[in-house]
Amino acid sequence: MMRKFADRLVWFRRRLFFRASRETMTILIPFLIIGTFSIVIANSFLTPSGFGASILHIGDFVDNFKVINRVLNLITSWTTGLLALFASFKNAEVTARLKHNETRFVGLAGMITYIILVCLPTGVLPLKMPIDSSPLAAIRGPLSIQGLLLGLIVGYLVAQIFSYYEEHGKVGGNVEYKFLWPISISFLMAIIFGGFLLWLNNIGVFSALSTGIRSYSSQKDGLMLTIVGSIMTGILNWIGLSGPFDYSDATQSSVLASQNAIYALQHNSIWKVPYPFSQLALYHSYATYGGVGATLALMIAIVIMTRNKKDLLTVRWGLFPALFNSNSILMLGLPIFFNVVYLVPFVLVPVINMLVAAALITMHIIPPVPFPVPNGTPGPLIAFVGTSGNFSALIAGVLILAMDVFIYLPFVKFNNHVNNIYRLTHGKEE
Amino acid sequence: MGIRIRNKKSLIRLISIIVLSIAVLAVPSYVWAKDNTKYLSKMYTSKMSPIIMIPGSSATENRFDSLVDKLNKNTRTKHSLLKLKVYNSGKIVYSGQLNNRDTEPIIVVGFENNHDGYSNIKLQAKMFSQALTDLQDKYRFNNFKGIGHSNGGLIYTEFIENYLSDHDVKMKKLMTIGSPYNFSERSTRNKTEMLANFIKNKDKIPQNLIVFSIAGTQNYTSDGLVPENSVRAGKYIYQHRVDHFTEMTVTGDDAQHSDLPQNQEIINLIQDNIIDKTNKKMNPARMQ
Repeated sequence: MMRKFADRLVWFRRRLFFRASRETMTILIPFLIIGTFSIVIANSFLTPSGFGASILHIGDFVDNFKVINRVLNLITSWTTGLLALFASFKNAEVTARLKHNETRFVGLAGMITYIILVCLPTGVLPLKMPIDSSPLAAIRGPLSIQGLLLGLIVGYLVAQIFSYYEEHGKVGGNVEYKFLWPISISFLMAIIFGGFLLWLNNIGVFSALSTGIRSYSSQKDGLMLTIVGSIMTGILNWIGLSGPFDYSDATQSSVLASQNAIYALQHNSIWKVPYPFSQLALYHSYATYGGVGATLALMIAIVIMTRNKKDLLTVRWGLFPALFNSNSILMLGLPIFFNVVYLVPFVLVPVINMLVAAALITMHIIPPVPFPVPNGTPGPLIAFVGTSGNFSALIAGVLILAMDVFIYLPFVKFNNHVNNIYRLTHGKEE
Repeated sequence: MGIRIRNKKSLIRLISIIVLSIAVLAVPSYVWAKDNTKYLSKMYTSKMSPIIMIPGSSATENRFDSLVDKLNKNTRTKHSLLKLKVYNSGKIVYSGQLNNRDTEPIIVVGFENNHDGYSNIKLQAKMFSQALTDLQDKYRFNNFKGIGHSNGGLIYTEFIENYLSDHDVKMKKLMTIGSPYNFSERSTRNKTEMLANFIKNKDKIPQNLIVFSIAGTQNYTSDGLVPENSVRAGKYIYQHRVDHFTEMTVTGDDAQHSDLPQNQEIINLIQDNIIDKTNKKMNPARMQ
């Protein structure tokens, strides 16, 4: 049965879209590494309210590095901040190459198509605005790593339009005129589809959706809700979209969290708070060691299990940001994106962690986490800092991490198995 | 489960890196977490709610001495008086003393640079912000009330629009006394640069702030120094922005611009509107 399943996965991986996507992601990795390191250093160490500056009491000192902080942020915005855009460019090119088609025009066409597509629905015309004016923030998400899947799909589709034209259209004349048609058709399709999205936006579909989700998740508090949010975040991250509880707002204090904090301060005890199972108390404190999907444990499991040099290198480069809960290097490097084998633990491990933590909280073995933590606090320390230095919370965190490693092990083993079949049956393409 | 560890060395290295970095970071994290909780708890449990006063141009931190004397007359609870002088270098000198059990002390912040003019007001607002940081570090209050006489009200407005959000503090009330929001312009049709900026940035004023603007009049148009219309221009900033904005005019004796802080009517207004209710109950001065 497992053998059959593995064969099935290999078959999927042979599909043009996934082959092209994997290669595209490989190309993006060096840029991603630079962007991720920059933002982790900036957030955790050079921001006065960040983790490093707070715990070392060097906030005032760090304030002198404003320029460096800004430069690092700049590097990140132009690398990881535009990753989906680069993906649309490269994926179009790689797809065309794998199909043995003309590759010189398709990349640019893919990229511009993607820009049109993400700008239209938000009504943003980026060329007319300075880069950090607020309306542009609306398209930052889809242009960055959060829009990776969209970028890959758009690049792939544009390459398919080009390919259709090369196969069926009248080929002749100079290249610069020959490709005018498929380029125009790609743009036109982006305009039609983007216009459709704009129309949906105008009649209020998106705002209704997002306010619905937001009001649901901010007003009610319960284990169920936090678990559902975690599952959604896991699945969405796995396909390269951002979920409701993403890294960026890991430490932003929500309304519930501040109510917990006020209660704990008023009663001078952290053990009884009104919302013990809030996002901060459970999800960010116990379920995201190494980022969404508790990937710190996956890294350890890989080092235990794997001989694959590439995976080990990915772990080496991914370790530093993962300690500060940023796992994008692993997401693209292993990859975890679209990797069916890792989907199950990626979504399940955080849920198991939260259930274990909730049980321990209910049994009064560990306290709930009421206090906000500085931006960029390492995962295993969030519970410790957020409980004002409770050692059982720290020990529980380490034990949960060890448990996660054991959950990940069989999946890493199976992933190696699939990789081996892939390599044996299809040569060494990676 | 039969696990064959494939990379013993790498595994040991990885685990030691993770454990070591967590252990090394845990120590300062622990200290910080304890400190932070202590700080938060001081903030939340603090019952102190000072009244912070800013004098007008050319005046010093001693400007409100007689006002405080009059406020404390006939009252059982005396407000203690703390005075700060902020030097251009950023140095802050304290004089006077806060009574430990006083929950509503009066703090006066004066500046070495006490000159008139928009550019000076901007500088003074920034210095006031620094002084507030210093005060909060020392006394951990989480809310305060503000009174500004003359240019002091302008400094407050500049501070509220540009610096208040940097502080972890709630500003509950503001009373400006004879503050020339449009400098010496008699007509609000000619808006000074300062007034235009105040109006432009009014969205940054917290909506729950309660604002009183008091004008003094000697004749029908001015308190002898500041045109009444310039004081009235405050409504373009605060009205429709904050929940409660009240304008009042004081006439009669001591309604001249410089006398306003000693004016008994204004002292009554301060007692009625700025001083906290809990303190007022024990305050027989108003029951006469």
